[in-house]
Amino acid sequence: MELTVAKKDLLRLVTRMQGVAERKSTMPVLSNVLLAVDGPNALRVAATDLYLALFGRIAGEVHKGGSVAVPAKDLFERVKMMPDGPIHIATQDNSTTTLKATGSARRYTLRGMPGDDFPPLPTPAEGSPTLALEVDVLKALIDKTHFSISTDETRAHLNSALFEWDGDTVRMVTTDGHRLSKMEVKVEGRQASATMLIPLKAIQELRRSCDEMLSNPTAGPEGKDGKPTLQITQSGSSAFFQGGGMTFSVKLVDAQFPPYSQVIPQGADKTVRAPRVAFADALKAVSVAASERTGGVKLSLTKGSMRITSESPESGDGFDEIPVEYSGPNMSIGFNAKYFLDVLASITDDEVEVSLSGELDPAVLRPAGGTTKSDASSDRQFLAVVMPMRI
Amino acid sequence: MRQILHIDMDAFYASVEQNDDPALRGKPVVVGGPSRRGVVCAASYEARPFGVHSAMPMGEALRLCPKAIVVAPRMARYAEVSGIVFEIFGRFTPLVEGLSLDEAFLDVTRSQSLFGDGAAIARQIKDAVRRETGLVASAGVASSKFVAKIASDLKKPDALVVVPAGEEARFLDPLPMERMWGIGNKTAPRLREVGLRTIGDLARSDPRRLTGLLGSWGREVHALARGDDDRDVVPDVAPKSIGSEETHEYDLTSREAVAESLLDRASHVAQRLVREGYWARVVTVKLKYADFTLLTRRASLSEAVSDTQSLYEAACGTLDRFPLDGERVRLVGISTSEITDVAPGPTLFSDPAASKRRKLEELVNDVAVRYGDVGITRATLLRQK
Repeated sequence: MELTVAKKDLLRLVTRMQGVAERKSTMPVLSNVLLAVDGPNALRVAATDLYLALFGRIAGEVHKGGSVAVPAKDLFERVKMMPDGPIHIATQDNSTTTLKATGSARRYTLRGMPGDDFPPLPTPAEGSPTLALEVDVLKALIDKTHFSISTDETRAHLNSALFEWDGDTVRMVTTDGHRLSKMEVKVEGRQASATMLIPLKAIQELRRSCDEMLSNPTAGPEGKDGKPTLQITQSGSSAFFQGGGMTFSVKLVDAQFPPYSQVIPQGADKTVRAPRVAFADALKAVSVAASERTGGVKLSLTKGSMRITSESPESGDGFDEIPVEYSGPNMSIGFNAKYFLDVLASITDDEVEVSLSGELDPAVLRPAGGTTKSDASSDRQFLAVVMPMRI
Repeated sequence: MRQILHIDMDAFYASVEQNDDPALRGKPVVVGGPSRRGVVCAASYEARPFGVHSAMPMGEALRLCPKAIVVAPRMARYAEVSGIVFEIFGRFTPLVEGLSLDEAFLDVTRSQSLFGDGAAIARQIKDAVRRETGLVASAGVASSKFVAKIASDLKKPDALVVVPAGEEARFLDPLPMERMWGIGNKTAPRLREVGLRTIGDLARSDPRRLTGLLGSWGREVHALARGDDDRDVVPDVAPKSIGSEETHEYDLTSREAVAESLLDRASHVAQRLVREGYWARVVTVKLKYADFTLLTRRASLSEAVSDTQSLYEAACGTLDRFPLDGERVRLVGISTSEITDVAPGPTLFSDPAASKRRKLEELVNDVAVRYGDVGITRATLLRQK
């Protein structure tokens, strides 16, 4: 294989491959990135851990066809150090690969593996249903829910995000058993039906893809009205996300997401309206003094006021008080402060609404308006459920 | 001046039994294994006048006190009551050093502005323990751990003995030296032979003479006998990890054999977690291969667990990340970390099986306490034994 590509293009793809290539796999080839000549003037770059696969194409001047797999981290570190401009890539029969800057003496030699050793990358079956979704919508879904995905790898159904396309609504729901987040966006005029359980690692990669496509909108084809758009294809047990010149495929989790709508409390009888920034600020301050073992803080509500307290046998107490809109009976309820803070940090509204029932019943947090850029607009709906803790 | 409390529950196991079962109250109760070859874990105050005491063979106890009612120990229940008692301690000071389920040192030096002096705090703790558990505790109050412990033991049950600062030596002076920890059946006769009888006698001896009689330990005995003890109360901390591993006599060559070994390890680890009142959130599996290559893989769980099944499932979940085809495994281990003594709370999707599994684990532990480790195990593991 022998060709010349632009450093900028190669670095962009190789950077993205780092999150997918698997360094700790029992299959050594998976810690590599595949470089393969694809047609007369393109290079294909790919990485996979057998669950996720990411590949992209960049333009190049091909002198000789072929492919090679080179260690992902080594390749990244070397390409990054190359001067801007064209890079000449050449492999020998034993898969040794040379990277050479054109117009400079800088050169690296890498030990690679034959490209044929790289596992085949999945492709969607012919005629699989494809949906178009704006990148900023997918990003909103992920930003509002990713923090409550369980990190427990032994429970695949919670170690993933539920992505649903339900009529003209797209929805993402995540839960770790202690809290749940749900974000819905209406996509007018696009009716569809799909359900996917996307594993945590794939959500993290998708988030990076979205960020990159939004910050670098020239990177790929765009939707009708100029907004960057992803094509989502479900095929067999995999889903494919195409956009920004790359295809990201993920093996979906084959498990049942918990019946989440049952645990979203409907009949909460007490409602608190709090200024979001002041609430988050007070929670953060008081949680500094919370018990390290539990991270618990107590919210005590009286007419017009919320007191936030923490007690730790090791390090003493913390206290703060903020004015809120509340007219219900006095009540106290304990929460893990982090669960509230994650939610408050993900929304942009000036006000947040907390719905409560008993002191052992879950609380519901919703953005409650107050800004021009509200998360509670008519086409976007977000809510979070947080389980209380005994304090 | 430091204020150290030593609090000791009176006839703890036996008192819990009498408290839980009114039919046992006022009667001689002996807690221990039912067989005559078992050992007494605890004896109620009604049984003690007959000469029954803990660590005595059950046969001897029943000969001394034929009317004694023998009750099998329920360690999980004692741990539960102990949890309440230690929670009460924690209200007065974070500096609580547990010695066992029923005994602890408390440093209340810096709690005095809130709750009064050491004697006042000891009284409040005794009252709270009685009110909230129905049990009776004895307390010793002094400026050191050593003197506080001797004080609490002096007038059991329901005692409160305060040794004012400066009075330590005078307090210790007349007490028989056997009251000191470590001076018992072996050491005491050697000291008596040379005319030493009381703690005061030890305090007045030349430390070199004690070193001659007791070895290097003599110097410490001399200092303690004079009431010199500056050891700090070291608050209990959860261990960093709890684990178990086994080197197999023959290398394991199949995934099934490794999994079975993991089940055995998981069961050991679960028993230790339950016995010590902990839950763990991270499970690490360790395999050593025939060529002594050592690999570890970890799984972090959303919920802290303490039962065999959950540990085993988490451990097996890591096996995909180990090379096992055609490999020979000589050692299998599981260790747990991120250990907490906070029981996992309710979740949005509560799994009713989870609390049952912990209860099963506690039951297995109770059986192990009564009959030894052979009492109860998983059918899968029987093939191994």
